[in-house]
Amino acid sequence: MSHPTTEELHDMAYGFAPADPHIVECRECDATVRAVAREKTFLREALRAPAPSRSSRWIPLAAAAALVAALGVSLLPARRIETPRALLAPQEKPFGLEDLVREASSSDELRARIAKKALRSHGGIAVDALRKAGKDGLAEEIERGGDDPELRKRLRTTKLTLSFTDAPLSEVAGFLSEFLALTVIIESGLNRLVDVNLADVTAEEALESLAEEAGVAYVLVDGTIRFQKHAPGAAGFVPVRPPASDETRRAVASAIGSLDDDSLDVRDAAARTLAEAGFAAETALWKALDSKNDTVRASCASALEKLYERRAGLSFDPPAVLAKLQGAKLTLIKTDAPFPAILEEIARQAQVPIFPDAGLDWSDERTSLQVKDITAENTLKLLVGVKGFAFAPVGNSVFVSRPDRLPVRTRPRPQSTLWLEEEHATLVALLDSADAAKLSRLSITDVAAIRWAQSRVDAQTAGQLESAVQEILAKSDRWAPDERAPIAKLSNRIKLDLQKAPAADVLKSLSKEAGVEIRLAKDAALPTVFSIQAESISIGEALDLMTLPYGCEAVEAGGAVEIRRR
Amino acid sequence: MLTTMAAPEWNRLVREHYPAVLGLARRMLGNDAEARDAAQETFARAFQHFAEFDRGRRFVAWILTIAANHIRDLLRRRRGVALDAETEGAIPDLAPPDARLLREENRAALHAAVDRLAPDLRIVVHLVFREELTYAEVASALGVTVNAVRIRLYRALGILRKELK
Repeated sequence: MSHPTTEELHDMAYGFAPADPHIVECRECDATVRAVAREKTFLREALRAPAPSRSSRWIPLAAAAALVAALGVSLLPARRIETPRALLAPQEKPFGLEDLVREASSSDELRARIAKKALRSHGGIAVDALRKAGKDGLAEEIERGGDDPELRKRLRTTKLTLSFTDAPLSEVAGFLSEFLALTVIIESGLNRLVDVNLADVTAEEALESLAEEAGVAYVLVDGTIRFQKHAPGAAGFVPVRPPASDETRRAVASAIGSLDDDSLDVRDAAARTLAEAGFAAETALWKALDSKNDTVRASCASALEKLYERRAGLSFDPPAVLAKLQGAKLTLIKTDAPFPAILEEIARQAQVPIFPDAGLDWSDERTSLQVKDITAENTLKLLVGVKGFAFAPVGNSVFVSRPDRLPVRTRPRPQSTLWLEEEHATLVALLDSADAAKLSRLSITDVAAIRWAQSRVDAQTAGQLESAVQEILAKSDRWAPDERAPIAKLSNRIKLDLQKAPAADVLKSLSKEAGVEIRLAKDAALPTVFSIQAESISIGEALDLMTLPYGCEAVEAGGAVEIRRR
Repeated sequence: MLTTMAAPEWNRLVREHYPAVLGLARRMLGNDAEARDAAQETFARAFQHFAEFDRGRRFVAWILTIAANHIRDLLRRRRGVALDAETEGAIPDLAPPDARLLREENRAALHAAVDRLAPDLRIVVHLVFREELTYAEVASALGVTVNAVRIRLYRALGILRKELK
């Protein structure tokens, strides 16, 4: 057997050369690589800690204990280094919901019209901000999903008596249509039997009781009453506002400058540029509405209106994003790095925008991660899993948050000011279809969204969705004690704080905690060291983190757990 | 020049990477006041050229390249020491590491030993271990090949092992 030279073993440990399969079989070479890796880790950790003061370079032996104590302190997060203010550029507040609310009161009719349109598109998300600004009328209109205000007023002032027993909704609708002299529309599939006995109530109260009895919603649009499946105020969208590059900003500025060009082709090209820039052009377009040039002003207004008309919807399976996440192989080494910085690096390498939830405070989130040639999807799973976060592909990007805040679970009026494309109607439509192929792709993170949708669909669809939920739960609950009695202890939760710990040591320690043998199959190849930090993680989850990203999995095998190639 | 539109991005980058630049300057210059001036100058240069920053690159690698260049000039001016004075040479005879180097009490001695390394080895050690730049990023920052980074790293390792025995 020919052994690699010590220099070659260093190359493997330092990543200058790929690992030679020989080291897996040769204990001696494996020991050398591990020793070099341990030394590398030590150097990294020691040099990341603040340097001791120069005067303490020579420390008497008697002070050794004090030094050890001091070093313990130095391993804690370093004191924040203040950034000189002179280096910082003046901040510009990004355009947002508050600006739209302010613009909605503008004396300039054009500005007010665009802002109101934008706010209506935001749906329920804009309601709180509008009420806070004293714009109750618009808030109420939005809450009712674009009510017809004249008709609403009439319903409040008209009194009637309704008495129907076991009558189809269509029969009551016919009476209302005749009595109120207006059109009543019932969405397909909602002609349910109702019992209503109301005397001398307003037409509005009658409609509300009737809708409640039939388990439907109603909306007033264009002089008609429509009974429909979903509450109107829920739908809304919030736009994605990814940070724009300087290049995009320059392109937007140049396009706005070309909106009054003599050439139609140039003007069309400028409009296309602005449309492609999306929300990166938003602030500049609002500023350009101050232009004295009517052509520029009209073109900017048109661009803004198109911008707020966008309905990207929510996709469970954005193919382009998933393809990128699954296709990009990442290599990164981060030790005690800020969580968003690691996400940024993943985004850079995978070429996919990744947005940490702006509603969460990430400033204290730090973690260590070391991956080599792992897909971006598995890297993300590894990273967010350890910290108890989750991610979801949304539109053309990936959103990272706590599982309960993932966009698919966003309530009609979320408290955060997340700027994410979202349309609950799309979500509901998708779930409504109960398409088996689509449902099979849903995961545990979608359960809350499905539950939300269940309350809004008919019983048959709700049943189909329930089956999907049960299937997801069955698939996800891999380590449930009742189902996997021999390895029940794998569901025990422990605290893990591993920094470049040798894989064998980690497995040994997990095996001890679980009280079962954990062994490596011959074909399993895991990294030599692992870094996992988790306040509370089940042993099963820890094993998943150590195996799944590397093409292996932990499976039960004769009362023990075996790590083998998938 | 930086547009006001890019200001939030710039400020975030400064806040995030100022400690790294200051850390490199301190390690290489040894003098806190001089290091702060160097960090200030590095960001001033970066600010002027921010529009040219290639978004495909990591900002930390770009800013540390600017910092390394500036520090190289300062060292040259200060005492005629060039950052790249050491040319590529042979790799020392590498032996498996001695576990004694890993002793906790060696941490303080390690910082001192790194400070005594020649500037071209010291900066490689700092960028690889402290800043965890990739070898390609270190090579790009110093204007050398990845193999040169590898050789310098192993030479530094040999010296540190000897000093900490």
